[in-house]
Amino acid sequence: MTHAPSTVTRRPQSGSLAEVIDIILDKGLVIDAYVRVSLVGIELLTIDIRVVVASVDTYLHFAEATNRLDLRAQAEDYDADLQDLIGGMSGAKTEGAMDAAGDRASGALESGKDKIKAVFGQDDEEESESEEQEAEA
Amino acid sequence: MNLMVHGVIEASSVGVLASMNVPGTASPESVTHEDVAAVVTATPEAELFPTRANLLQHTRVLEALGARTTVVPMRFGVLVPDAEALVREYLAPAHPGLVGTLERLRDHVELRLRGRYYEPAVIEAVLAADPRAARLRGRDGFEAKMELGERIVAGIEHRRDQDIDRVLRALAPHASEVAGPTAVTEPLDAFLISFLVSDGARAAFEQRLDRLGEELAPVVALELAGPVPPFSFAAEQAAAWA
Repeated sequence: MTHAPSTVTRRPQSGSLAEVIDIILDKGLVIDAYVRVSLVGIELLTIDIRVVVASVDTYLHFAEATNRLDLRAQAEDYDADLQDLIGGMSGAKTEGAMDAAGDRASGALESGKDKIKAVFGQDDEEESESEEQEAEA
Repeated sequence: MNLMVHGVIEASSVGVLASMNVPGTASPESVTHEDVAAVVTATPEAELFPTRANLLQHTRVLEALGARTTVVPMRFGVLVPDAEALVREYLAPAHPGLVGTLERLRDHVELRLRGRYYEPAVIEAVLAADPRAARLRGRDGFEAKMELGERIVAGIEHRRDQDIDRVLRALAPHASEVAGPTAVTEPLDAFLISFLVSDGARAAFEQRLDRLGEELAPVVALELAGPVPPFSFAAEQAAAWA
């Protein structure tokens, strides 16, 4: 996710296992009397847990991602405003994270942070300081 | 020994099995009934574990077959006790349908198109269309964050419907059949759609796809996999004769 994509990626085959697993387990011809797949060892539970956790986690992730998004590139005119806004945010955002405090929330924030970090590889110093504070807490 | 069934081909094509070399697996064999043949691998197992190795073996055999002839893929995990049972309980009763499906798939490939949202770009697009979300941006506190995140996710969902429309309008005219879109599981997945494309229409499909990629960039990244075994276009028929 480090570059904005610009064209179509082509893969000559089905690709990774993750890519094919849904398809080959529930599509294609079947001989009803002879389906012999052992479900031992498949963690069906993890799917349910995912659904429960997913929405809160997702909303927090996108809030964080949005708040950290740097819109500089598209709006030179508003540069000054944005700098103010972003400057104000990076302090407030750390407190916000602490307010939310639950394990789940900070987990979501952590993962959102990692992702954004990956996107904006080298950030300004203020950003990395506030990340350090979060990490210590 | 049980037989793991991979798929069904035309009996006249069983010669392709000799040229197939799927690394790390036993050579597949064929069980023929009239003009159709099932491709199978002998296995000592009584039931199949959906392990990485087993799932990939099934996939790779189908891919190798698909590169050489028309194949109707079988779902993973079909084990029959012997060749006789396979003919008696499947190839014979399902014969008319299998012939029809082979006919339908002949000289066609399945291409699976996946779209993924590029996070910074899609968020910018949603903010531009939702003033309330733009105002919430940077706001402090758990509730403001939840509402902002909710609006961004809703904005992406709204956009997804429009993007799917756009993809179908561009590519469906170049495909014989379309399967999907499959329900997405990750918020940044835009869509997953399979197209059954005839050899003759392939070049036009690919050209239109390239233009579509440029139209949707940078918000959506497109990824085309295939030819893949035509699972998406064998299932309905299977349900009808099971």
